[in-house]
Amino acid sequence: MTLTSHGRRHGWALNVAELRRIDAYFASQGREPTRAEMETLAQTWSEHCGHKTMRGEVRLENVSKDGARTGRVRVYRDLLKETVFRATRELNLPWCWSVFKDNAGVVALDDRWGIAVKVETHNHPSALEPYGGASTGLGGVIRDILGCGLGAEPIAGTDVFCVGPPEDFRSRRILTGVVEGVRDYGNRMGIPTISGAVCFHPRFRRIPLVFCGCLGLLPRWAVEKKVRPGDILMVAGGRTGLDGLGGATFSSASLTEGVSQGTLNGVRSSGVVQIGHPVVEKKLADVMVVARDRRLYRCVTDCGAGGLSSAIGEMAASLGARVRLDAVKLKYSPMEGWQIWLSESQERMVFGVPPACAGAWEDLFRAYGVEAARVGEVLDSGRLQVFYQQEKIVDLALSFLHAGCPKRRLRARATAEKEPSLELLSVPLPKKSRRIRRTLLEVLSSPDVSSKEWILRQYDHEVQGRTVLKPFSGPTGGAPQDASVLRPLPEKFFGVAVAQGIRPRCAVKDAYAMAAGALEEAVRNLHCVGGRLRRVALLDNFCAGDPEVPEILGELTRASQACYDGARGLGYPFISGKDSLHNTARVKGKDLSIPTVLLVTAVGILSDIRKLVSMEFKRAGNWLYLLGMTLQELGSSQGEGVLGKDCGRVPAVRWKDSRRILQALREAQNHDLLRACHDLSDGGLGVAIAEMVLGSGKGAHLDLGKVPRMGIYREYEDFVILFSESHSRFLVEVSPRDAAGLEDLWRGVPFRRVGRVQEEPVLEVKGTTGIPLVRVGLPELGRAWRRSEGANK
Amino acid sequence: MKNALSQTGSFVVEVGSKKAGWDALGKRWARALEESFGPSLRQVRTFHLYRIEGDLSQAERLRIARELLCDPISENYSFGEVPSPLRGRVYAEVWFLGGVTDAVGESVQEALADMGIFSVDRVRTGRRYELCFADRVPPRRKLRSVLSRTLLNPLIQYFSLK
Repeated sequence: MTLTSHGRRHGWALNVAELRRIDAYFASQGREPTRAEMETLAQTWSEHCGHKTMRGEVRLENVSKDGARTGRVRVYRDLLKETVFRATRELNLPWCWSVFKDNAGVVALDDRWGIAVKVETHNHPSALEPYGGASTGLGGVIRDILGCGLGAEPIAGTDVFCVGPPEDFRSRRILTGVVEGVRDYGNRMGIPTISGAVCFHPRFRRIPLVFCGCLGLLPRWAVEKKVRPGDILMVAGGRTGLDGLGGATFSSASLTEGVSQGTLNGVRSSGVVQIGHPVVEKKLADVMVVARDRRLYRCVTDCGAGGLSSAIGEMAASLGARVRLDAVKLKYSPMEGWQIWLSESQERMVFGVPPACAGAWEDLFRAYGVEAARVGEVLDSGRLQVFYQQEKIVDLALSFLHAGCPKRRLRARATAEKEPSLELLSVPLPKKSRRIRRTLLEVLSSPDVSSKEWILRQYDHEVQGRTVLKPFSGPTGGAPQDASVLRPLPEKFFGVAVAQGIRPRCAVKDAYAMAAGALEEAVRNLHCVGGRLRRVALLDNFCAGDPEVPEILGELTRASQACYDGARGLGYPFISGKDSLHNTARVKGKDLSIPTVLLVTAVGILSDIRKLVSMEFKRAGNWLYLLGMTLQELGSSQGEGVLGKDCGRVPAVRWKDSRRILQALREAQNHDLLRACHDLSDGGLGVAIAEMVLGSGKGAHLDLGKVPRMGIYREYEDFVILFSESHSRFLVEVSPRDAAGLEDLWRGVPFRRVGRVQEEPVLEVKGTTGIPLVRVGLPELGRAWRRSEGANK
Repeated sequence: MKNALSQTGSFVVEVGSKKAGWDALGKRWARALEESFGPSLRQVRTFHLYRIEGDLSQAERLRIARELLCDPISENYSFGEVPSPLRGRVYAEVWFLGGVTDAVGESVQEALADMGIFSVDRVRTGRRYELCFADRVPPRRKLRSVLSRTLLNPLIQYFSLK
């Protein structure tokens, strides 16, 4: 049997060059590889663990829509290093304590405390088993936080889902399953789930995207970790079974029909699907913080994809390790050695414990009811050796394991976007008042925009008592906030704000605009909440189809370039990330793929939570200002979705303008001039003002004729101003006595007074010609906004 | 409570709401299944199942059901097998496959130890669905096809129909 057929048979996601490299290595050793060694290499070199595409050499060709080459070819020697990492390296900010090297990124909260942040994807498992996939996705990212430095205390969770349309039964089932998975894991662990989003698109019907994030708090001294030769390797937490076996290689390949459970050693198993046990992880989290503060271990990492092979392989990467699997606590027996070594059973962590502390460490874990076992020791041998039942089943040079994988060379092709013609800009749009009013209500009730309260109310977002700005607040309890804010240290007024940006609809038209828009949206959301925003850090999560397809890799490359441009343009570094590729499925002979998506999570450090500003209106009589310029950018907008026709250009981010506007908003916040602030994103100005009305129970009057705008086809101005999704725009409420100060402060940036808050709970919109355009009462707005809740439940 | 206490090493405790109106999960499934079965599906009721393996006296079994598994205010418990189906009713039982982690089952086992009951080897959890139809029960093939797509994920669970 050839190596490739072996690879296919065992599900190793390795290509021919990689298999040849492995063949040559074992030829030089004068022996055949064992099953455990092949599985170890397949896991470590998988796309999931090794990020071979994003770390590969990419040759990007720009072509016109007819396929002709249009510009020079750009070669990225290492796509991630030359885009996302590069921006962070060039910004070189001292408050970034740990970036792209540990299980999570860490930024400084103050001199003594840091905030660890990580966002993971769990798409493939969630496609097969939504509840288990999402719950273990959250469980896994919580362990990333526990395994960051010497362990951070998890203080909040986040979730973002991309699923098929809600009218589709399968998609509804996936959504309810993933929501329940996150709910049960987060609530049972006592970690508040404070922030998230849900996006709907037909191309997520077969392959949903599930992003789970976690924030943790750790002291500065615990950021660095390092094992030493002689340290004892301990495994603690859950027992090892057959669940999740081969997860990393599985998630590095396409989904195919007929993925099913098997019978291994007489036990009917879920194969690649994992099921979580939050109570076990809660006990592990509790004991870890105590053991960390007593300095009972020198290193820790979580067992994620690849199980012990990946955790111990990474921990001892620069030294060496000898492991005895007989000591590992099993759920059932018998299990083969390679199965124990590769199992992805949940809730397990690996510790490097100094011999002098081993007894105290074991006593402490026993006292907390956490099972633990000594499974080996760290050596200075440069080799990873694994024994089971007195047989050596792995003996690999760690240099080969971690640096032996041949670099991938890939071709990418990007189609240059042309400026849209005047014809496209003048695509017929609704003009009549009745039609515009109906469109507003339809956009409000569309799946992407409508209320997600039925999801958020299932999550405990207040446990631990740190959440000071909750996902829904305001006098009606239903104001969807742009960002959620935590107070991590009860004795101080520091805050941590979390927000997301994601624009999958845009990806179909322009991957660069999609990524740039996601990044700016996340940052905008942070700026809305005020609180003296001091630092902003970003996390990237790329999801795409098959990167071997040049057009898909072209989209990924353009999205990565947008990350670099955005991070440099705004001055905010990326600190951590994760990509998930091969999000494809073969169904009834057809290849299905998701659109290329980037989720950007933004974390802001606030100096004073007493200065927070929420999004709902505060007082009748206050004035409304619109900051930022509105352009004819309806492409991929919610308005376009409702109309069902191509509306042309997608919103573009102009980084210089964006920076100036964000700066202007920050200054206004710092001078306490704003009473409410909401960014304009999905659904544009129409949705933003409607949400502010819904959140406050107060009404508003809006005059479209006063909105700062340019390049809009005059005939359709009213519709475009209400529904354009141009970036870098905010709607703010200002007290009349602060208006002069604000106008003075904002000299040089585009802004205008566009309306006022009123006591009567009605949204009134006056058109550009001066005639009344829309008048909708609060109850009707609320009914539209909550219409899709019933369908999704 | 039925007098069907098994003296073998394994027994099943069934726990359900005292009133059908309190069974929120059942109502949700009724809404979801109405798409397939139409208005003839009158009601769905759900019950938690706990299969407990170990040598336990009758008094211990009663104690487990009363003190641990059942909320006496809102729930009833019973022991035993699937009831004989009444006219117009179908019972579907869903259990985890043997090798799949059963977090609730493990927690129950730990709680039993906390209660001082150490002779339990294993606890597995499942769910029973009672579907009540207005007149005739749909053909078995249709029932099996719809329920296997909706009530469980065959990757991690199996089900039986009665």
